[in-house]
Order: sequence, then structure tokens, then C-alpha cells
Amino acid sequence: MTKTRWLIIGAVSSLLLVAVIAVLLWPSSETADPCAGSRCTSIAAGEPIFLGSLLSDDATSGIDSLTSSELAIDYLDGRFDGIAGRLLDHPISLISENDDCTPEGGRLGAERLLEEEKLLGVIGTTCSSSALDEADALMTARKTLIVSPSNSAPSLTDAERHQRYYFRTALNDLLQGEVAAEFAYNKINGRKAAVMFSPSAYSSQLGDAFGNRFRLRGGIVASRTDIEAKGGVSAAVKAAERKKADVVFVPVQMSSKPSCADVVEAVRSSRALRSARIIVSEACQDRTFLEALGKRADGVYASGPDAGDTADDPFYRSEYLPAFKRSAGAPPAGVFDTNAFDAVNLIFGAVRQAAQRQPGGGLLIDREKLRSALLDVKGYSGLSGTLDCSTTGDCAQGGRIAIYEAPNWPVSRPGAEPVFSQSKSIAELLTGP
Amino acid sequence: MNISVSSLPGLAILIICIFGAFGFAWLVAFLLSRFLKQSSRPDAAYIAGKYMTAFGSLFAFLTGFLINAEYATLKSAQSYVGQEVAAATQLASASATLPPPDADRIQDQMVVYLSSLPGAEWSSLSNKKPEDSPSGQYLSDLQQQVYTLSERKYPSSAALSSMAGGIEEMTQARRQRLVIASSSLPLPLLLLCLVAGAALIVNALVTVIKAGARYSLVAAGLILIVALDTAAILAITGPFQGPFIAKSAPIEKLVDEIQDGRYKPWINGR
Repeated sequence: MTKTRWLIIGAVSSLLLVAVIAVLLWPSSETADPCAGSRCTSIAAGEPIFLGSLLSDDATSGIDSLTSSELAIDYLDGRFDGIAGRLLDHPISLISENDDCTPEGGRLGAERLLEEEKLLGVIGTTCSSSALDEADALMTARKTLIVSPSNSAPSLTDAERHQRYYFRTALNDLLQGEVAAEFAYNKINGRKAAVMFSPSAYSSQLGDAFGNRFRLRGGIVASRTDIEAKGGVSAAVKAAERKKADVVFVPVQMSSKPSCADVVEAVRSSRALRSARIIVSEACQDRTFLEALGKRADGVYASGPDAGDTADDPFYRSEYLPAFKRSAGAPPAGVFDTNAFDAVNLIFGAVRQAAQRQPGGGLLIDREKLRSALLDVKGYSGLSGTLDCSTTGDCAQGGRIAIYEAPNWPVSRPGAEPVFSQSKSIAELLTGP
Repeated sequence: MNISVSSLPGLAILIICIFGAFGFAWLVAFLLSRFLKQSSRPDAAYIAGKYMTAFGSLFAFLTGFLINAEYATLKSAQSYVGQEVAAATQLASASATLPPPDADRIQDQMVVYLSSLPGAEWSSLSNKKPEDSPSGQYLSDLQQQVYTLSERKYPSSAALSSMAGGIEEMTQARRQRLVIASSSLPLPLLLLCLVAGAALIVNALVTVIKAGARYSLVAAGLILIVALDTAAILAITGPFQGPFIAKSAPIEKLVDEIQDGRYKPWINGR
């Protein structure tokens, strides 16, 4: 090989070396559409994140839930100081509507909330009937999360009726029906039950859940009466008297007309039912019930979520409860306030998981990812209990249901001990007898 | 000068050094052909040949020393980044034991701080103006969040102590990172290195001048090496500027993990 060839090889090698170094150091860039093929909501820097509340301002649980929702927003900055915190450096704008505890109220409230196109999620509804086939369907059609703190009607999360964007942190009434039936049949030895319900989804479905589980144990549902039908409460009481019921189950809300207190008052006034035990549901486990009936409330059993675990929670005791009292001027009057606090925090968590931060501080939120983020929640240690959100929308897969005896109800006597308490899960009920 | 040139992308530094070296060589070759008499060229080539080893060794020693020193600085900076990520991971893990709203908030603030590092912080360190970076304020906000929790009754003492340790280490590692970012390439050594490189180029050209244009490719190889070595020094200078900087990939990975919910035990049963 000649010297010239060596020189040419050397020169070419040097050029190749330079070329390789240049390629290695050339800046690379990748671009990807962060929201391809899905409905995204863009939130500009400084723009608020819109949430809604669709709660009843007549029902204790609705008022408590709204207070708790505001507390969750307040606590975004780590302090219950009355100053709203920010989520991903955006303020929260909470738009409130009343669900009226009726299907129509649920529909109208949902429509008003959905006028805000950037609405990402809603806390509500208070009553199952406002959600069922109304608010849940409207929100789902617009891919807007709706998380209820107090809906408990089983059909809302029934696989065939469930709306995709609907979730709840309240316990499914299949559980309450089961535990109330167990208490009625095995603890107070009731054999003939009278169920007095109102035509709302909540009341009728809880009445059915109780009746089915009571029958399963060998009991008889002696009468099942709609208190809003012809004859009203007195017809329901007469039916129970005729059948010699020894247990009266009243899954009626305090805000209904007639209210739970009216029904219990009527049963108490019946001589024939003097020895019958009365069990009311958590919608009646309300301070106003005890105030309305006074001494006549004594001995009335109330089923509902076991408040014991929550009362023992150190965050609840030292931070949340004092803040609630400061904000509302009194402790929670119902049993769903912590469910609302958890529901709002679940939505915040979903927004964190789904949001893509944009340069300059904006957010791009894929609504399908919001829903997926809730479905990813497994073992969330909420104030209301452990939450695992399922595809049918139940985030409280199980829990402890307690029976309290008036006047020893936790809504009036915090730390009250239940007379009966049992842990149950939805899976247990669906697969068991 | 080294600050402004070394802040450029690698390709730009490479092109500047190659053009600079060959431009200088062309100028020297032009001057030699004008002013070095034909009769003196054999003697000049002979003397220059004798100096080649000395100039070559001096240049190699100086460039080797500078590259090694700057590489050590880069490694230290990387190590502090690693320490900061380890401390942040400890903080994120400890926060997972808090009630979810607290864990969410601490981890949100961590994302804000950590995300600011590869962008705003690295850029301000590159300009030697750490006070321009918002990261200091973000870290201070995070500290406040952790200290506020330590005054409360409900977090476990193990979690609080682990979180306090994590935030302390993050603060220390950042402080050390700022110190190392403020150090700069020793200018006299760099100048000496450039002079040695220039002398090597002149010498190489004098050596080949009597052999004619065919042999200039030999000198070209040497000029290229001087250019590449100089480019390497400038590129590696400053751990937060130019093409060779402390890698932010571990920070970005941690940010992704936090955002994916890796430190939230309730996300997908993690």
C-alpha cells in the first residue's frame, strides 16, 4: 500500500470520527400527543378546577357533606384554616346545587352543573333517588365523575344499571340490610317483621334488602307498606298490628314527608305494637330525630356505619372533628360527613393521576383517565373506612355496620358503644347464601 | 470565555474547535510560507522535530489533567444528585404512611420541587445564578409542610423521623450541588493548554513544511486531535452546562414514579 493511500485512509477516518461525534451529540426531540383519541379538558394556568356539589340542603347528611367537601378543599394546603388550598397550583371552584332528594331535583341540579363545560367531578347526590337514572346518567353522558358520599341503594351499583362515571363512598345497603336482619332475627329474636318504607329508591331497596335477609334466616316479612301510599302511616301501622309484627324496620329519611320520626311516633302510639322493637336506618340516625321524639325515642335501634373506627382515628379526633365544629358550629349531625371528605379527596387524587402538566402551569386532563384513576384505588385509608373502587362504582367494598340504641346514638353522644356490630363485605353477600 | 463557549451544545463546541484549530493552522502555514525561507526550512524542520515530543507530552498532560479534574467534578455533582434523589425517595416512602390527604400534599410539593430541577435549577446553575432558580423556594415550602406535620399528634414518630431525615438530606445535597456548580475551570491552566496546543500545531507544520503538501495530512491529523481535545475540555467543563452535565434522569424517574402513585399504597394496591 502506498503512502498516499495511508494518508487518504487517515483523512477519511478522521472525518468519520467527527461525523460520529456530531451524530452522538445532536440533540434529539420526541413529541407525542398526550390526549389522543379521548375527551380532554384543558385548564389554563391560574384557571380554577371546577367541581360541583349536588347535595340536599334540607337533609342533615347533605348539609354535613357540603361542610366536609369544603373542609377537604380547605385542607389542600395542609391546614384547616378556612383558607382554600390549591390543587396542582390551581384554585378549586365548587359550584353547589341542591338535589332536593328527588329524581327531578337530581336531574335539574345535574343539568345546571353541567352548564360549566370544564366541570370535572361532582360530590353527590345526597339521596339515591336523585342519582338513579338521573344525575348518574347525565354525568356519565358528559364523562364527568360523580361520587356520592351517602347514596346507598343497591341498584346504583348493580352491574346492569350502573353508570360508568358513578362511584360512591357510602356502604351499599345490601350490607346494612344484612346486619339489621341478623340483629333483628338473632339478637332480639324477632320473627315477624313489618317494613315501612317510602317510595324512594333508597327506602324501598333497603327495605327489600332487609326483608330478603330476614326471610333467609327463617323470619317472616309480615307486612311491607309504602307510607306515602293511600292511608299513609296509619295504614302501615294497622297492617303491622294485624300481622302481629314483633319487629318494625323503618328505612325512611328524616327529610321525607312523612319523616322517619313521624313513623316511629305512630308506631309508638300503637298499643298492639307496644312490645315491637323498632329499627331505623342510618338516614334516620340524626340528632333532629332524637330532639323531635325526646324520651319516646329511647329504645329505638338505629343501624348504620360503625362510628367506632372513625372516632378512634387520630387525624379525625385531632384535626378533622375540631375543624368541622369550627366550620359548622356543631359536630356532624349525621353519619356521612367523613364519606364526603373521602369522596372529595378521591376526586382530587384522580385529578392528580390524570392531569398532564403543561408548560407554563396549565393542565390537560383526560376524562377517561380520571375514571381509570378511581378504579386504581385499592386500600385507601379514608376517614370513613378502607376504600377499593370497583368497576360497578362501589368504593366501600365492605365495612362494619353497627346497631345503636337510643338515646345512645353517636350523633348525640360521640363515642357511644353499639349494642351490635358486624363486619360484612359485598363479595360475601353476593357469593354467600 | 470558557463559560460562554462551554455552555454551547456539543456540536457547536466541536465545530468551533475544529474551525479554530484549522483556521489557526492555515494562518500559521500561510505565515511560514511567506516568511520562512526555503533555505532555512530543513533546519527549522529538524529543530521542530526535536520539540515535537516535548510539546506533545505537555499538551497531553495538561489536557489529561483538565479533563480528569472536570470529570471528577461532574461525577461529584452526579453523586450529589443521586444523594438528593435517595433522600427524596426516603421522604416519599415515609409520607406514604400518612393519611392520604397529607401524603398527596407532600408528594405534590415534591413533584413541584423535583420537576423544577432539570429545567429552572440546572439552567440557573449553568448561568452561575442559583438565586434565579425557584427551586430554593419550592424546597423551603416542602420543608414547611414536613415541619407542620411534625407538630401534629397523629403521624407515627417513625414516619416523622424518616421524613425529617429525608428533607434534611435533600437540603444538604442541594447546598453541596450549588457549591460544586459555582466552581469553574482554572483559566490559567486552560490558557496554558491552549498555548501548548498552538505550539504543537506550529511545530507540526514546520516539521512537514519541507516535505510538501502531500504530507500535510499528517499535520492535519494532529491538528484534529488538538481540536478534539480542546473541545472535550470545553464540553466537560461545568457540571451543569454544555453537553456533559449531571444527568437529571434519576430525578425525572422519581417524579414519574411519584406521579404514577408508586408511593401511594392505595393506588392499585401498591
